[in-house]
Amino acid sequence: MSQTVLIVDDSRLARATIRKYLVAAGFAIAGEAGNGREALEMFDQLSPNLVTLDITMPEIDGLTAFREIRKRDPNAAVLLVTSLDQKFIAEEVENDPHGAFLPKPFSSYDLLKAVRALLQLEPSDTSVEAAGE
Amino acid sequence: MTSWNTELNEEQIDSLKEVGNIGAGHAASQLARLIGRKCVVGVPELCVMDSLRFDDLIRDPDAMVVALHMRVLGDIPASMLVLTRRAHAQLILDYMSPSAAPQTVYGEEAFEQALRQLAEVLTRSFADAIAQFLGVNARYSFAGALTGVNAGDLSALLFPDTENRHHLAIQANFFDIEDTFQGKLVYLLSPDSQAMILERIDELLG
Repeated sequence: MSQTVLIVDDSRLARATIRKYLVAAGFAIAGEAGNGREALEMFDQLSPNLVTLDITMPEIDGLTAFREIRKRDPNAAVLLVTSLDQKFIAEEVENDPHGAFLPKPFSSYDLLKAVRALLQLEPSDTSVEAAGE
Repeated sequence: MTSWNTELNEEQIDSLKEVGNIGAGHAASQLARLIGRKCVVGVPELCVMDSLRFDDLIRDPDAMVVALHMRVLGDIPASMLVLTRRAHAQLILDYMSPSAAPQTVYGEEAFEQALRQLAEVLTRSFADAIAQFLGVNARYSFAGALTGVNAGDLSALLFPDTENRHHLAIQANFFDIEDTFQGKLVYLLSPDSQAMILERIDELLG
C-alpha cells in the first residue's frame, strides 16, 4: 500500500504543486481540502498517513485545524505548510515528533524530505510502497 | 504591450492569489522579526486598479494614512504599496525601537525616513519570495513615503495619470495577532507582468 496524504490548502495552485511532487515520488493522494473545516471532515473519513496543512485559510484556519487533529489523534503526521515563516508557527510543532513545519515557497526536495522524515521513510527511498509496508 | 485581460478564469485568479499569499506571508514574517511580535495576513484578494478605491482599503476615507511605495523591477515589474493608518505606522516604528520611549515623537523627516526603510524591507521580502517561487529576478527602486494624506486622496496622488490605472492589484491585510495595528499590502501588476506570472506558473506545473 502507498502512503496516503491529505492535502489541505485554500489555493488550488498550492494543492496542485504538492500533489505533483508527491505523486511523482509514489505517494497516493487520499483527498484534498480547501479549508480547515473540510480538512477535519476528510481527516475523520479518510484516515490519511499524513496531512499537509496550510495556515491562512477561510472558515477554520490551519492552526485551529492542527490543534483539533491533535485532539483526535496525537500521533497523526501533520506537515504545516505556510508562507508565514515565523517562530510561533515553528514552536507549534517544535516538541511534536509527528509534526513539522515547511515554509512556502518550497522545492520538491524540501517537501519530500519533510514528508519522508515525518513518515519515518528512508531519505533516499523513492519506493514508497516498499517502505510503507 | 499585452492587452489587459479582465476575464481571468478561476484557476488564474487562484494562482495570482497564491502568489500574493506567498509574498504577503513573507512580508508579514519579516515585519514580525523586525518588531518581535506575531504577525499574520488575511486571505489575499484581487481587484482591478481602475476600480480600486483606497478609502475602501482603509475603510475610512477621512483617516490619515501612510502610504509606502516602491517599484519592483526585473522580470515582473510591479509597484508595491504598504498602507496603514498614521497612528499604526507610529506604533510599528515604536515596536521596531523598543529601547526608545513609547510614542517617540519623530520629526516629519525622520518619520518618513524610518518609513522608507520599513517599505524597503517589506517590499523586498514580498517580491523576493515571489521571485523565488516563480524562478525570476527582482530588483528595486528607492522607496517613497506619503505621510500626511487622507485615504480618499491617495489614489489621485499615487496615480495622477488616470490612463495608467488599469493594473491588477493583489492585496492582503496584515496585522499583529494582538490586533494593535493593521495595514494592507498591495501589489500592483501591469498586464505584461500578470501574463508573465501566469506563464511561469504554467511552466512550473508542467
